[in-house]
Amino acid sequence: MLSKQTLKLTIPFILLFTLFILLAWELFYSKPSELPSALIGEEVPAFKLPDLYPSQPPLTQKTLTGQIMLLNVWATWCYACSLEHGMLMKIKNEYHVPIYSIDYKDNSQDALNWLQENGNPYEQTGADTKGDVAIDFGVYGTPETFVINAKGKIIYRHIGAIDQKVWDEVLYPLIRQHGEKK
Amino acid sequence: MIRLFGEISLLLALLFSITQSILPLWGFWRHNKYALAFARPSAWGQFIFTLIAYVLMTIAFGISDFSIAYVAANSHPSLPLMYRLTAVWGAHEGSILLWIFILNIWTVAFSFISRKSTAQHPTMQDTRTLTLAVLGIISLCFLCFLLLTSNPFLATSEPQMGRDLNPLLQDPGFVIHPPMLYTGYVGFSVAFAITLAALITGKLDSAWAHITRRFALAAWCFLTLGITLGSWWAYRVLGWGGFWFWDPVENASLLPWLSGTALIHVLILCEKRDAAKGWAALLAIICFALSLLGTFLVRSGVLVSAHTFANDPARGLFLLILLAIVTTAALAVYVARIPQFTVIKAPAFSWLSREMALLLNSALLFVAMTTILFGTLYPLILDALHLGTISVGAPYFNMVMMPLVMIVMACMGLGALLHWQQQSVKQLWRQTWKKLLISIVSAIAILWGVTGSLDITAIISMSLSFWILLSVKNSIRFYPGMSLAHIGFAVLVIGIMLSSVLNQEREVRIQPGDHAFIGPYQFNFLNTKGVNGSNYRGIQAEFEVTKNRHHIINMYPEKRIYTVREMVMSKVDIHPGIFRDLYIALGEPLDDTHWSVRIYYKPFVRWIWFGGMIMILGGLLAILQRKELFQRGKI
Amino acid sequence: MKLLFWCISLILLVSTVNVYADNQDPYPFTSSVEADRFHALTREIRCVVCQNQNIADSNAPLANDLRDKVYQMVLAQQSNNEIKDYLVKRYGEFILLQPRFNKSTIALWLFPFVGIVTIFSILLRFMYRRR
Repeated sequence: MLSKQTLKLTIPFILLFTLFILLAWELFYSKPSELPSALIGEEVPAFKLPDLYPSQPPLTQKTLTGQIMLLNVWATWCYACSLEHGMLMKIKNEYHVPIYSIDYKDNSQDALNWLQENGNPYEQTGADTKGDVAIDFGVYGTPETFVINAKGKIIYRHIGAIDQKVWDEVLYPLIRQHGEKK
Repeated sequence: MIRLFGEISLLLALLFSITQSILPLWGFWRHNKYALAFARPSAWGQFIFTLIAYVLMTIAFGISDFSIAYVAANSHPSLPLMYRLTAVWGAHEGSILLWIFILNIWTVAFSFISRKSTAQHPTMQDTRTLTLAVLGIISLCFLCFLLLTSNPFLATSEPQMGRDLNPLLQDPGFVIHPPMLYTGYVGFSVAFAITLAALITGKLDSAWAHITRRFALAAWCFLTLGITLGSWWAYRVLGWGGFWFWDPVENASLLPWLSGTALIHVLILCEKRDAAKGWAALLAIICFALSLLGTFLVRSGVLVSAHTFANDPARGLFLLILLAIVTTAALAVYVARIPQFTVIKAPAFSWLSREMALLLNSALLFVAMTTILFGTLYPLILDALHLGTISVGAPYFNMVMMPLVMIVMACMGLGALLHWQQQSVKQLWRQTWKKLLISIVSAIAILWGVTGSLDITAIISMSLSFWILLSVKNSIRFYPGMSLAHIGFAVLVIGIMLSSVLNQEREVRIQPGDHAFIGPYQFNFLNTKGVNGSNYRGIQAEFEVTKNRHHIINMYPEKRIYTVREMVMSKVDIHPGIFRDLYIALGEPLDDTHWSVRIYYKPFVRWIWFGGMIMILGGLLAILQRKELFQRGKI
Repeated sequence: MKLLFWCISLILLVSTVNVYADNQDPYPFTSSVEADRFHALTREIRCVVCQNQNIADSNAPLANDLRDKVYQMVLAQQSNNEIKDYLVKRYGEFILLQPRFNKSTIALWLFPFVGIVTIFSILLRFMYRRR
């Protein structure tokens, strides 16, 4: 007896189930506190920052092309950044992936001292004391790490400290995948 | 010891919830008188043991028994007593315990109050028993949820000094807003249960409409009180003088309020005209389903909000499944049983009638409710479909709700003036053209005089508010409840409109010795000094407020650090007034002597909460209104 | 009637004329139109590091930086759309509290109209059937 009446009656139930499935999905798969970067697939925005070491040339978007690399945004006042330092050194020394960085809203002398004491995993570091360049990158907290390919396009942004797990499961596979396309 | 007795009480309550629900339901099915008789005493039994469990938890907080993990996570020996006793509902587990406790209070209230009407209508006996059974099932589900995923009586794993209550909650608003809000939410479960019971027993009649309307009104009053208090509390605590933010959790409380308002209006049609029963029953089910949805949204973590409790997908899933089962079962019962009630027996009515106004009003409120629901869930929908991440915030809701509220207000005024069944256009016009004219003219006059500018939205809102005020002039005698509730709403809208048009805020960089002007007032920054509370330390600034060189008051905003959680909080100072509030909040210290300070001059902002209070008063009067007077209503 | 008259008089009596002085404003503007535009904009931009606030009300460092940025852009006479595009390019549509009207938000913006039309048609059919 699949009359029009019966069909009309099932519509509310279908709507209801769609709602529940939506909510269940969001319950397990959404991470409302993590914002996807709006710059994925775009080229690195044009910028120019003085290098942390005064003798070095400034860091610009042109520096960030030519090979697959990481761009790390950090600061000495950021606790989580100190947690990922060890991993960053490992990435430089064992995995040989170049890491450039932006020192975000920091005191340059403090940053220099910190890198001196703990080791410098970065090829070059730009000093973004006012935070303007970080806004151009859509940065909203530290640490954040961008994966940039050889053509200078941003292919991924990771929010939070990098540990072995994140490296093995997310970042390194991405780097291997994009780094081999020459 | 407390732990042990607390858990035992909860288990006994669970046992009683089974005998209150499953046993009578089986008894109804098998026509077994004795099983049916278990409902009432079980309801009392469950109430007693949830009461014991709740009191034990309160005692645990009072004496700072940190062997219980929940107490340790939300209290501290230095927390003032008032907050220690109410921190019971400061986080997820305790708030569910409160929820269950309030559900049982409503259950025994229903059991007690329905005694008289069952004596008058013996056929209601079965409905009454089944209502208790449905309420029992809800309680059973929540007790399982509590004991399986959110047990407040769990022991601490290691000795603890107590993590203190979240500083944002240490305000008098916290003492009263959640209990009132929950009483409202949970109260709609009674209307839900009575409706389901009546559908099952086949007795969807005027006795059903009568008692459902009373309980729905009661729940509505508490919910309005809870929302009004929440708005007032946010205004006091959050530091920037807003009273409504369209935050997802706020929206979650507005949804049952809107459908609850629709419900109490449609039930009038059921009671007086024996009409629209299907719509009323559906609204009763939807209202409670929205309460459950709200409970889910707040605790699941799917929405970004300033209000949410600490989240756990397992708990979210349990609540979601609970919501799904209850809603689907209720809807199935509705769909199966409602066809026999929709033979329209009521006398016909025309477009221009009070019946139409009531129906239209409920439909518009329903649309408003679905709009807010859709807007709140929209980011989730887009995210699930991988269509990007967007925000749907205050600007959207303000823009969309305004026209809807205006249409509703027009109907409110008309509804109070229209006759039952029909009225000719000419007759209506004769009654109303004067009121229309006065509303519009006075609105324009006042706006021009008070604000010096004429914004079309402001004119329309003010005119509509005056329209409503004038429309209840003749109804006050016969319908004091309705009249007062409508007046309250008009006052609320006037408050919102005037405060948003006249509101002034200044952010200034200021040091002691400086002064700042806002509105007709001058704020003189006198000095700062250190202060110490039982669980905080901070800096207090002293401002002298003058107007035309007359001293008005001294105000003392503070910046506090709560030592246990190391949270910094700005404590605002407010000088309330009937016609204006003065509001001052300390921002950040800028250097050795300068501070960033926000000052607000907010005319008529209190009218928003006055309006809310008047509405609640109206609701209370409507409950107490004598039945004969209501049914005989001449107008 | 009389009651209304007294209410109106009372309100007119206590309303006051606005006095204005802004020597300590952190965001000074020479024109009040620009000041209003700035304040309206900051209320429409989300503080992405907060739990559901706009940058006008938030004291988070990023909110302060974004407010400064918007202030400079308003001073530089950039239009509202240009400022919003600038922010969306960097932070995504999420940063706008009022969703823009495009393909994925059509359903959202049309929903209220569809709702009202639907209930009117239901009421019409209901009344028609009863005749």
